[in-house]
Amino acid sequence: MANETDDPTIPPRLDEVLSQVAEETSEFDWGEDGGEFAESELLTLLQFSRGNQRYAILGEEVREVLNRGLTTELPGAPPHITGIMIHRRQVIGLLDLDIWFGLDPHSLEEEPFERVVLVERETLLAGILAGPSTTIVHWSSDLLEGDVPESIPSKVKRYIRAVKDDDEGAVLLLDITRLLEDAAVG
Amino acid sequence: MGRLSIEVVRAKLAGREIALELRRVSSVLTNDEAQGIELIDPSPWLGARSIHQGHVALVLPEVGPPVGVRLGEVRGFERWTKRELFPLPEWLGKHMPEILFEGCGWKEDVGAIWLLDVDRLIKAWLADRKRESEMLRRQAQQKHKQQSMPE
Repeated sequence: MANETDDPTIPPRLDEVLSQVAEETSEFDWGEDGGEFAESELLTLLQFSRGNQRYAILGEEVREVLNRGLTTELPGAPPHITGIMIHRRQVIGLLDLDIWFGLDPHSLEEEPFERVVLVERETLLAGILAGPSTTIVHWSSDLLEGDVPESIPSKVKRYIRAVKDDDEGAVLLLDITRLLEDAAVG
Repeated sequence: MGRLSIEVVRAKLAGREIALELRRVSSVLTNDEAQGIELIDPSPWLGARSIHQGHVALVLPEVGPPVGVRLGEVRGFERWTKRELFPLPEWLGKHMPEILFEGCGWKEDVGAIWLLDVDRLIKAWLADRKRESEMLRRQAQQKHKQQSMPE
């Protein structure tokens, strides 16, 4: 006997259709845009500004964001290590990216740092000076595959993992491991 | 936990807050009282010029005669518990001047108070003097050679 469902004149049974649909839709339908994310990963980052530049750091590398507190200059330290502060009984060394990267120092005179982004890589903990605005953003991990534009100065490029452009310009994703190895440990 | 504490003499030298362990200090003298004593000024190691004024701590080195350590303006004598002492992370310690301990005191009204390591200060000072006298000896030798060369 022929299968009843193969005969186009016989309407399909509801339970059969339902089980077929259930099989086909066992995973979320992300549509065309979502399909990209299904293959790639969605990264959570902390975005902040310093001077005229915006940076991002992978969420897993950020320990805390602190408000500006009492700081003291470290005698004999290179200029990009701007000083220390105490947080939860730990001495935190503060790094100024704009000085390390040799970027526009005039913008810093107008905008003193307001926050400190505590970053951690293995046993190394340091504070990166940031402007008042810090936000959580999400990037597709596909952005990590892209090349860093040649227009970025070579001193900066070494510490950049990816760049994302938006209406306000470029956001630079920092390579924290490399940054701490060079700027902190030296 | 034991209530360990140290006694320090606190001072402000070349714009920086510093402290020196009191057990290493036999007395604190004024600038006038310190005349004739061999004086060590930590200022150049702290990135500042020598000041030639303020108080002087008379320090007994592990070997050799007493030396004076320039303190600048003495703030007072204090007892610090462990809670007032903060070790520096290793990476920051590497950037510190050799004459300081890799740690600091901390007061909410002044921030960090740097801890002078008397032994390392004396060692650095002696090394400087040795370099200086070696340079003077070479200069004198060179001058002597030039003078003794036939014209």
